[in-house]
Amino acid sequence: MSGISDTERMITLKTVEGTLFDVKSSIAKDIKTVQAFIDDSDDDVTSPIPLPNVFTRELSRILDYLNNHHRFRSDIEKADEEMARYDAEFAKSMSHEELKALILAANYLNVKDLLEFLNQTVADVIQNKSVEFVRNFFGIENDYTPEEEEKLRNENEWAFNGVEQD
Amino acid sequence: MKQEKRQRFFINDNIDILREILKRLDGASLGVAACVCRLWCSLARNDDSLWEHLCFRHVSGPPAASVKSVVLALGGYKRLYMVCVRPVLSRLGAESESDRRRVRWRREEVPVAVVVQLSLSLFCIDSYERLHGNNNAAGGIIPSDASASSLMFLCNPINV
Repeated sequence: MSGISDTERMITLKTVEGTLFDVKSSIAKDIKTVQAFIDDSDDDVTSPIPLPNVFTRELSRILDYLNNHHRFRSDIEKADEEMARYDAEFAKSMSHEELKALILAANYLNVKDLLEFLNQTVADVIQNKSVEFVRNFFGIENDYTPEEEEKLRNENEWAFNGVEQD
Repeated sequence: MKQEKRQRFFINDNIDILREILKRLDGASLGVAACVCRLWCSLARNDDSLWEHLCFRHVSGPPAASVKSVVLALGGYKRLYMVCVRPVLSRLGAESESDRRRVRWRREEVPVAVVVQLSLSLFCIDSYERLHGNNNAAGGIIPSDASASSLMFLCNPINV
């Protein structure tokens, strides 16, 4: 068993849609935005903490991630191996749109480890991809004239040899 | 559901996140990223810390502060990467430019600290040789005949 006592204080979080999530205070510690809110309140936080920028789908994913990582860390022996397997599955389970929405939420909530992991996941997606793929992935418009773009591509020509087909 | 209220993620409104993502790309992918749009281009061009990160990403612990002042004095980290780290890596076959299925540069396979040290040395040699090109007024640290032949051949790819 995890050894966390049943009497551990619970924090309630409320998403944009109004869904309530009960979170152990040890988990809430990793959500820096929530922890700052708790630290700033003089009394015990009893009413739900509203998260005006976070949707249910994202909060549920973030809590899943944190709960699992806490569980892995309590079992030192298999921690690294299981965590790596879990992380790989976690990254694979999301569409690109979901991944970007989760980055936004993790950034707002300031969940450092998760944000780092998601940034790495995005970097892995765009690594060795074409300029067009990257623009498409992020929804970025090409703000160059054709002449400017050609000049820039010539300057960076060394970088294009390893680009994969989209 | 209030899905329609959902704010769309636009990376260019979140420069801190963008910077973190760019930091995690390899050199060639960072070069490609520089062509995406004006904002990305200016980041790749002006934020030398991206290239610093690229040069040292696989070395445990940050390099000594004195390294930074030397690199900056000699032209910055992008220059260090382009002039030395990249040629040394490609010579080691770790970042083979012609290979489509690019072999990832892995810590276990390449003595990365050696790559970085060698690159820094080459970088200093390159800068010194350029300085030294027309006179021997560099204080006699290197015997004058050292300027006769360049050591930068160490950067060139060779077929073994």
